[in-house]
Amino acid sequence: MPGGAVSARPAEADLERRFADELRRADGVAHPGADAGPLACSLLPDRSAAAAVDDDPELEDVAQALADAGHDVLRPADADYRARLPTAGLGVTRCVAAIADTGTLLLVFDRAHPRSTSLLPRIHLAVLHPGDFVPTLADALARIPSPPPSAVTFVTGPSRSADIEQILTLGVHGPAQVHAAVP
Amino acid sequence: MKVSSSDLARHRRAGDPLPPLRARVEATRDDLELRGALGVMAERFNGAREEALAEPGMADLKARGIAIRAHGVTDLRANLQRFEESLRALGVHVHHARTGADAAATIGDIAVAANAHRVVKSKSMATEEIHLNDHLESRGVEVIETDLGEWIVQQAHERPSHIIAPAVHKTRPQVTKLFSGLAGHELEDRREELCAYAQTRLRDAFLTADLGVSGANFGCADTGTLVLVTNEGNGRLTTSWPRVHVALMPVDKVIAHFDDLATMVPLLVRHATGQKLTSYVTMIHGPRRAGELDGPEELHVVLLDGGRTALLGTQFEEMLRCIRCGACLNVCPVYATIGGHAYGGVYPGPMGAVLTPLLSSGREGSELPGATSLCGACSEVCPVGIPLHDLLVELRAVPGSAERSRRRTVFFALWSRAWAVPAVYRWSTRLANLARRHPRLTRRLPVARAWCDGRALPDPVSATFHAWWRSERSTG
Repeated sequence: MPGGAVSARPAEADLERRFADELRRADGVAHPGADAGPLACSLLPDRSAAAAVDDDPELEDVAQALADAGHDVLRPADADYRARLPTAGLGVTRCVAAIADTGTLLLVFDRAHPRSTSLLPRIHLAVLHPGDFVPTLADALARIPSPPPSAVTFVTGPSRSADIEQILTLGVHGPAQVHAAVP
Repeated sequence: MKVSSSDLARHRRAGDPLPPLRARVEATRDDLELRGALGVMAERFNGAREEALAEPGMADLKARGIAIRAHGVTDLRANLQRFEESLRALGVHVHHARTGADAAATIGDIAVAANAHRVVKSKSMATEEIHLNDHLESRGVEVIETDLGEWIVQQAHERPSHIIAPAVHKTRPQVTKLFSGLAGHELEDRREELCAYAQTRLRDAFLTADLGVSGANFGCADTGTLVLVTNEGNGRLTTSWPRVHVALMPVDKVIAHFDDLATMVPLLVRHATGQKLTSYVTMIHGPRRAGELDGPEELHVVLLDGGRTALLGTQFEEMLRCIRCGACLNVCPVYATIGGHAYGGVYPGPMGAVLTPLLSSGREGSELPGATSLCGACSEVCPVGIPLHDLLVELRAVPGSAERSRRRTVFFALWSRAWAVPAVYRWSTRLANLARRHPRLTRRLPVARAWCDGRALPDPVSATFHAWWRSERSTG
């Protein structure tokens, strides 16, 4: 085994651990070592609830697991995706980067990865892969493709508001729960 | 004129008369419920910010932020031109508005041309500045605020009292009463229930709106990026779901480089809410692309001048660095005492006391720089190094306050003449001591009445210094 790979591994593990800690601090939930398919099913116990899953080769297993569990699975390629998305209880996405400093997911949007999958459903699950982790916001900005896509969003934990009594309440317009399946 | 704090909270249309500053201060100063809410707000925001800024590297972050914003102001015209070119290259419609009225009319025209009946708005102080809601409603367009605080304020027919916490002046029981009235039945007096009610109502608004209006926290000249820094997700919905998106961006929000966001976004967030990053930081590059399922089909950016470029090259141009974090409001002893509505304008607190008179074409806000303590807490906390209290001092000297300062000059000249005569000085001190011994009588005297209001008279002394000195010398 080449020495470089060995020394790279602890750094990667450190980034993953820091990401998970910071995500928890931001009221999100990190699931280290979780298998994304069963995790997605456990987040949506009501079998009659629909789930939205982005069109992504790395999310096919999750989509299959949800369908096998009896969920109605919406995909961006479906003609009625936009019309039916508001009824979905769970949205599953990949991410382009996961920032260790802040517990942040960088989502890049295009026709296969709509903005709304991570926005309208009450629960958002992001499936992370080993190469996703970066130390800082500056590193994540460098991962935005060029030319830039029509929109990207950095997501740090669930939707929140402190507009009543300046006390935090989660899940005001966006998801009330943000989960990350960490490798 | 006697006014109450709820009178001041009420929604104001452009040009609506404003009670004098003294009446505004009196109304809010004595509202203990408001003072309590402001105290809670300051404690939470200041605690979170101080914790966030205690981390290593923050001094460097601030130094970089100051440099970026200083250049942003110096190179404003060039950056704006580049920004506009970048936006057009992305397929964005760019509009210029010299005044707030122009900006409102432009957005109204866009809404009418798009045949938009329902507009959803994410939080934007610039839209408050141009009185956008009144304008759109006058053209038959329904406008729905979607930020929770802004929605509360809109439903109560009031106006925001803090630039990042618009409903800070409202207590939970007040919100419960308001929402119960809207719902037509009693809601539980719990935050979760109140938020859930608002979300249900507003989700329907998002799904049926034709047009979304947002502000912008930053615009990057080199890439044409529009940046929205939010927590609730309403900003994302506003810019994702309706078929037209209009971003109203004051010209001073332009920064030169996309890479500067790695500095500016964390600097803004840490000073605003004390978070490391807000829940959502969205970066938009033009309308939706072919085949995409969401994002607007049409994207318009309205660049609002509103008196800003006129400040370039003046001693006040540093004010254009402001990134609207609200930290100066949270540390200000005057804001903590009177709240946002007493300032009268859209922007309260120290930044508002500087900006309101500067952006006003008339005399609006000219009295505000005088109503400040000059303690310097605002300058100290400012993430972009604006010397707010120096600007307040300089604003006190501008012509708007000339009449008052002439009266003062005459008064002090007479006073100085009078006290130069020993006998007059002696009699005046005796008279003052007499006045202090009879506070009830003194409080009824014409000038003293105003002075005594809200102040306690000093304790009377047993003898004046001169009298004491004479007796010392005679006994010694």
